[in-house]
Amino acid sequence: MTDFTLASSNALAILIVFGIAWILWGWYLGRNNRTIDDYALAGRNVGFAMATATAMATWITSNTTLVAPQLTYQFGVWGMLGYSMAALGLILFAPLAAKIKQLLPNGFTSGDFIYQRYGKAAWMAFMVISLCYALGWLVSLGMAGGLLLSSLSDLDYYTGMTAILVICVVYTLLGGLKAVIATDFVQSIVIIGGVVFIAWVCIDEVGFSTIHTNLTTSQPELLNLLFPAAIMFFFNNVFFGIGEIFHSNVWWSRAFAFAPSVGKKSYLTAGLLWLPIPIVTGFIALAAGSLNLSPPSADMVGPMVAAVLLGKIGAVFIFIVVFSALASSMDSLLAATSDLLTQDIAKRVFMPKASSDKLLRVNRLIIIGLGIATWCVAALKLATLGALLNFTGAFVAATIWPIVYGIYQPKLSGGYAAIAMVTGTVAGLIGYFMIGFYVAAIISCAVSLVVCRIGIVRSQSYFTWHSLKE
Amino acid sequence: MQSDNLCLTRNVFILLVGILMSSTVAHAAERSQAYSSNDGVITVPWQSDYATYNHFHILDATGSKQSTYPVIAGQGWVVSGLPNGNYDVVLSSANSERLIGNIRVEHYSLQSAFTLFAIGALMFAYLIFTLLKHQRSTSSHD
Repeated sequence: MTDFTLASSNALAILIVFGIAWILWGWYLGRNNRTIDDYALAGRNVGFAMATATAMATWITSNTTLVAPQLTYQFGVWGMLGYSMAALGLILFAPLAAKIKQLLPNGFTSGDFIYQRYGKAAWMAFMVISLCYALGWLVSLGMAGGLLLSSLSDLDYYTGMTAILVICVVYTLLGGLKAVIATDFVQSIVIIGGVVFIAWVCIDEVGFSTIHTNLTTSQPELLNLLFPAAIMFFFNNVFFGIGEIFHSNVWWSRAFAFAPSVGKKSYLTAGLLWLPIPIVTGFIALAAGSLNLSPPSADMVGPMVAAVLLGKIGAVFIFIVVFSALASSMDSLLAATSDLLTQDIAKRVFMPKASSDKLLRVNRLIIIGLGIATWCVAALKLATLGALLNFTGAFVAATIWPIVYGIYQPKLSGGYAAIAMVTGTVAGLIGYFMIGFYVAAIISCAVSLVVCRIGIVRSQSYFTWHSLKE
Repeated sequence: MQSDNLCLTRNVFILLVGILMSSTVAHAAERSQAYSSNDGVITVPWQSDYATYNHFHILDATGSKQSTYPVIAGQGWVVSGLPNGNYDVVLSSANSERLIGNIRVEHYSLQSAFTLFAIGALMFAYLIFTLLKHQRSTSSHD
């Protein structure tokens, strides 16, 4: 036990207050949801401010608040900069969002696009990848809740994990995407204010020169620009971030939900605003050594440094900031994944003629099921957050080229798109296990590109875009 | 038949040698653990008998302290940023010291790191080119 540890009663009180506030707000926002369009896509008319806030807040997640410090602690300056390059995913998705809305004005999910553009084989490969990623991200968020609570308070890992899951499942269930977007707006303000304050205290209390001197003697590789593993990690993280955003229904459902002409501006603005945040959150991990701190698990370094700097009050503060970050991502992911399963599996495969009411009920049941599945896997605590997230990098990076070519290159056929996704994923996983988590995405993306190029060169078919408009 | 017996004898012998070797290794592991890393990151897990010590040290090959952290009951240590070399992991209290591990750090070669970096940079440039090219053609078409 350390001197900043919160008593379990205090930590429980914060959890309960927090949980009730979000759940009541979710219920209030969702009380007028009547159709599946209202519930899943917030009426398809989200304005610029809300759209930008939800895109940014969803991308500020356990990745940014816990994994960015972890990767900075492991890879130093490169880790911090490499992590911030995940903003490129949002920035490069901006033009795609506009095109997606234009190609599929009545679309619901990313699976819709893949099915109509490439057919069943590619759709099946895509769904497996998408669900593996969604579950991996959900599990990492549940784990982050548990780690956060166990590093800042006397409560154990399972209590934190259960609390974040129950809170997010209930308010997403009650409010749908409207609640998700509105809570994201508030959460993004809390998160940005919080991380800037912590970084300012870190610079003020520890100082650049102390941090630099300590790193030079104790952890010199963290300042080394020729740090091999970190150099490998840099572009891996770029492609991991791009793959996450390009394929995931979290971002596609927002592209469909945003009002016409809002998507491009919102994603671009959100990306530019997000860019410096991992540098701020990652930076504090560099102060760990100066504060005589070696975390028991690399993903706990961020909250531990912040709690040491700010004391017991700081622990409460960090708790609220990181919990907001986790909630803002988990609710989005629950909503988007349940949409994907409802539209792409339940409706397409099992009940093509289901009414809007029936689909709404199925959607809600799926949210509960996802919460339970996430709890079961997160309880096993199989890896660190960084390693778990980068495991999913092998899956998502394989979808980048099939999606880009799917939108812009009419010659790529469904067969080659499926092969690109499968071989890319397998190659990425081999890289993950043979070399390390920091090469999975880049290998997966490179193999997928080669297969797509072969497919384009050998192609005899030409896809016509108007057939995508339902 | 004889060859079968010979084969069986040989297998039993290999099994016994294996058991003997693994018990020797297990004994060694109790004394001090060997760690190796290609990225300068080492995780030292907590063990209950560490609770009697106050400090955790990483000593370099010359015996000087690379880093020192406090011992907190129930918490292991993750040490990062170590350059190439051999290190000792030592626990200390006011009147005793204990070697709990040896670390060997050998970073990946810069050649392999830059090869992967170059592949990433080229692929990224090509992605930007693809998006810009089609974006322009879409705009002019519209």
